Amino acid sequence: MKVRFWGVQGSTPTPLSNEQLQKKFKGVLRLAQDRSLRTDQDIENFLAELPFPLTHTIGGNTTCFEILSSAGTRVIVDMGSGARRLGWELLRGPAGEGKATLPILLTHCHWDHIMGLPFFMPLYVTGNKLQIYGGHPYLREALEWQTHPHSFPVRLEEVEAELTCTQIHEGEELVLDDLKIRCKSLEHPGGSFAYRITEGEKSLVIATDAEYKELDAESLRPFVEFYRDAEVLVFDAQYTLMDLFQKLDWGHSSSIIGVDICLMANVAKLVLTHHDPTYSDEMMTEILGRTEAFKQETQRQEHIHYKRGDLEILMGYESLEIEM
Amino acid sequence: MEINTIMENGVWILRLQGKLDSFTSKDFQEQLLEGIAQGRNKILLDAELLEYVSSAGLRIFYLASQRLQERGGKMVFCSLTPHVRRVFDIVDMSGEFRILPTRAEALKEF
Repeated sequence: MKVRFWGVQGSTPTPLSNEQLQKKFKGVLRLAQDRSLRTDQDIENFLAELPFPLTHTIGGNTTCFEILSSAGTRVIVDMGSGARRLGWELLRGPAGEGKATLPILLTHCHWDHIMGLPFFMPLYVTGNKLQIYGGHPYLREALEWQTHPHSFPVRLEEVEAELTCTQIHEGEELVLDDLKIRCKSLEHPGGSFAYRITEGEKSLVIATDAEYKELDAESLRPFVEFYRDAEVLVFDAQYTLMDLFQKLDWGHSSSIIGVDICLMANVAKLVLTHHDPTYSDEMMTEILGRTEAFKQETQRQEHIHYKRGDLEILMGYESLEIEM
Repeated sequence: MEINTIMENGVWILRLQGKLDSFTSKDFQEQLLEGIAQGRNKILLDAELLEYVSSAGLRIFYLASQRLQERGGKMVFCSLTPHVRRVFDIVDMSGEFRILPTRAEALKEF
């Protein structure tokens, strides 16, 4: 099973600005001044040495993840603005011929998690089947709302593909070929749902848009148990810890809390997502560094018994792929 | 985790010993916030024997500090262990609190 990240931004799309792009160029050119870059290979080697924020961007699109099982079963989680590019990519396969069945899990129906659906090209190909699943009872109503003629020229009922919406419930298991899926409600304004997607013995948990209002063991237990032994936990890390403490009830979390939860739940990889739109690529790199430092400081305590050896922490960014 | 408390010249001193994590944080939170609710507005947290702090503990420190500020009170730390100091620095919390090397110096802050 693997997961591809098509959108990791929180709240609203945040394209890289011209000023930010120029800052990256200047940074690269500054480091290139004393280098002899005569061949393409020299350039490739030089770029590979540069720090992440000079050669990459976290990406400005909102939440969209694609999960592919080893047998080829595809599940999409959330339809943020990242779904637009995913849609074009899918058109190169059966979805381009109207022969695709695409299960889509919605964590919730806040705008940043559904805004990509009207721009998801497989929706406009006759014969495709889009199967929307989610924990909320008003999935269809929310999707129809955003394509009301006041807001969008094509109504949901007018699209070419067949679109179904099905509510799923905690405690139930949704089976999609070789993938088994369970959901868990999270603390978020209006509610949100985490998904645990399992192939064989390996599980991926996507838990975006979640606040952990109390951090004592008893309050965390339901979440820790849902995340337990996952290979990958994609975790809402919208704020630094200090920013989070000032934003109680905003429905989000922090990478530092993610580290403590992963160590309790024996998760192998922590992936940070739902980044705050006001944080730059440079700041995200600093957040990753501080999170790594916190993990090392925590893991070297003798009483911390983490069976996996060393918790791996990754910054979620567009085009990231993780194989499990 | 053990918490020993004494009053000294109107300052409520809590001597924290052991590990402040998600398993011990609830009792500490109740004790600290209850003290603030009862009107103790000069608080000194002596962390000389505090071996470990997790995000659960950090949240309580911040919460207590906010409650005290709302009431015109003050919270000061002293004698941080190297681990706790490093954690404060990593999460950028050191600047949020007044932190003194010794209890005697911390008491002069009130």
